[in-house]
Amino acid sequence: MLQFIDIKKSFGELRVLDGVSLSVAPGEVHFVIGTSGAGKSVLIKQVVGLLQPDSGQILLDGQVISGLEEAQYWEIRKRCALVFQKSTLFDTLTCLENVALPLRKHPGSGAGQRSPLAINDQALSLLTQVDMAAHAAKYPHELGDGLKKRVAIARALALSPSYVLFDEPTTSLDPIAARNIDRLIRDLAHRHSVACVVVSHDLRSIFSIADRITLLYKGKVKAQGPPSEIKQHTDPIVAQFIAGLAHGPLETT
Amino acid sequence: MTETERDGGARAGLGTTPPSLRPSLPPALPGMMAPGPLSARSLSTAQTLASAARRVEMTELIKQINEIGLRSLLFLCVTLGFVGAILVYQAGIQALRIVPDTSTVGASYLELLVRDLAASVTGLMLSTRVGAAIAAEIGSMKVTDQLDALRLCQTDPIDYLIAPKILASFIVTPLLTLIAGIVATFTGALTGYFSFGINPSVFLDPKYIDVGDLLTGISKAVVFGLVIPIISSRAGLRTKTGAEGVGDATTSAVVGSSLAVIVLGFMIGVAGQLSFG
Amino acid sequence: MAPRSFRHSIAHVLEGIGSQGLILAQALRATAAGKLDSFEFRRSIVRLGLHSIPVIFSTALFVGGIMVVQSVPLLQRFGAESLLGWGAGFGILREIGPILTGLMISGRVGANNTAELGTLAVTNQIDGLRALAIDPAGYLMAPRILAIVVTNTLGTLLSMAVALFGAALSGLLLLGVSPDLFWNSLTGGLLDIFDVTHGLIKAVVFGLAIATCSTSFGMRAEGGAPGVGRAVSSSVVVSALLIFLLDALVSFADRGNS
Repeated sequence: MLQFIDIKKSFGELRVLDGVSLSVAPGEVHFVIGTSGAGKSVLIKQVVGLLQPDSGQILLDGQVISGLEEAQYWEIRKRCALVFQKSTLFDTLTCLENVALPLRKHPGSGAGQRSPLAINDQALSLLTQVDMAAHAAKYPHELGDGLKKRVAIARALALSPSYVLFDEPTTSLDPIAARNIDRLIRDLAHRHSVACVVVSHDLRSIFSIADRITLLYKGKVKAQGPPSEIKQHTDPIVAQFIAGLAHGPLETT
Repeated sequence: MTETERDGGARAGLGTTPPSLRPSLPPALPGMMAPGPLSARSLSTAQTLASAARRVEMTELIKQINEIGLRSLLFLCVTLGFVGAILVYQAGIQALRIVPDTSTVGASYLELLVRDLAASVTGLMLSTRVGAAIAAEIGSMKVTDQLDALRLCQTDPIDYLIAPKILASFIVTPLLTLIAGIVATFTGALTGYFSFGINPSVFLDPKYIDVGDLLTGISKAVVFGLVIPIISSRAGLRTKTGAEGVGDATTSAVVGSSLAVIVLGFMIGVAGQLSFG
Repeated sequence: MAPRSFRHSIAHVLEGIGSQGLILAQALRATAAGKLDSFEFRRSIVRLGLHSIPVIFSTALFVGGIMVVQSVPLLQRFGAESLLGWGAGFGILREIGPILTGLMISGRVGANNTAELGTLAVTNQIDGLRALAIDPAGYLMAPRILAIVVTNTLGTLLSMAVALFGAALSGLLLLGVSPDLFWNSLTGGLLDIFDVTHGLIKAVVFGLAIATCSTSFGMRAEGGAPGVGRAVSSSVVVSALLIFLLDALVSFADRGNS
């Protein structure tokens, strides 16, 4: 279980997160939604220690993981993987080498995978899982955004994490690529019991694969619950977001 | 067209794929600049200077003079100050050992400074500082498609980005050389006084400097001022993709400029030697 | 120069130098913990080291020649052709060799290193490494620092030898100084092993300065493409300043052997 308890975070004058609480059960697909700049990315980066909350706590399986030293996050990052918004693959490595890198650096995880051949095999099978085996020898700059995102997901899965955090996985993807990513995420959660926290403002993704949704507005939790509840929510701001309308009480930054 | 082809075309770089295979740019409409290989086309020196003088905006020129000139000044003064001190120190030691007479150290040093040292060291320092900066700036703009974006705004990247830099460097380099030379003279005299007791009035003796020395030094400074931005801009325009691309561009800019400074400096020096003796 | 940009420059330089100690400490700690990535080290040695050899070679050759050309009037004035070997050797081993190589390496290798690391930093690839529980100190910083120190040291040795050769060649062609005469005055007892070690100490020290400086500015780059450009020019400037500063320091500290 991943728990956020009353998280607050400001950047200078801007109060980005103002007392956010939510919890993610194992194997659940949990969407954190809201308009751009609502602090969603900030929230998940705090899980792996790339950012720190000003106050509040984050607990991973009962252990406090906020406010730790950088060195203490190495173990946590093996259990919680992050897929960046821009995929952030390593330019100088091929797709296969990108996925193989964490395997190479952490030989302990995954039973005794030490020889380069075994590592490459394992990396290839991870790429196959995301339908990218054919592009294994290509460099990131030769691929479009949708394909890069899949490689990034394969890389995130290399160390067999129990939680994967997705930062706007379908933003900037064409509709078909987006639906593919949705499918990958849903399979990950329901077939492999990997809890997926997805930051998104893609309404189609939200209402096709989410188990539970948290809507953030101006740093606070505006609504929280399963998709059916959110759809029938009476708050006008929530309703406007759900309907994807440009006009209404909702202010965007 | 597959994803790979589309991206491959857009990222292979300007001058390498024919316009027809580059759907990232719309076809040339009336009033817009047609795409074409930038690096080969307009960088012959005389052409560039002439067109630079014609088309450069004053505000951009001033900005570049500040960037290339003023920003380098402190760095150059410190560097040449050190060079002067070290050189006089070593020369003094040698003079004491061979001919125990330090009276001509100052005059010889000044001649060397005017004829070669001020221009060459300034040139080398500028080729690293300015050369790297220019190549890195243009290179990263290329890799992030900003050069394309400029052309879509009907702005020729050469006019807007490169010509001002060349002109500014041309104007500023001789001035920087002069100032740096003065600083080196000063620190040299100080070193001569404090390390060897050479009286500054004896040290600061221009008796060995002749017209040939002055001309050699000045022509070096002028040539370096042209060569550095031209080589660096070319390197920037030819940047390849990714993190390594920008790194390679800066490297070739610095290496190319430094080599040019050394080789051209050598050639001008020999020419000066032969003409003026 | 406006007072504000003057102070700004100084603050910038000091900040740069200050963070280098931190980078060096982190890299040493990672190396001691056995986390120095050997694959990255081999890649750096080839990319940064081997590919620098042609540049070092050609520059050193020319500079050896230039030294002789410049000293022609001086030697003719004093009739000291027989001392050409000694003079060239003294200058090259103690000063020109280390400084020249240092500046060349700083420009070629240092700038390249900063640009690479800077682009990694502004495209979030360093955060990408951290998110995979890979320590940037061991994977990025330590291999490059070691590679640059090794490159500069060996490169300086190479450039000293080649510059001496270039000087001998020019001495022969321009002044008619025979190679024997050159060699004799070079090794005839006025120069000794301490002059070589003087140059070597400088080579290692300069290498460390260039390595930590370029790595530090690269890792801290921010602000997209222009940020990378700024990082590169800052890195190159501070490296050169450090080279001259350290040269003065080492020359002064080691002068008992001159």
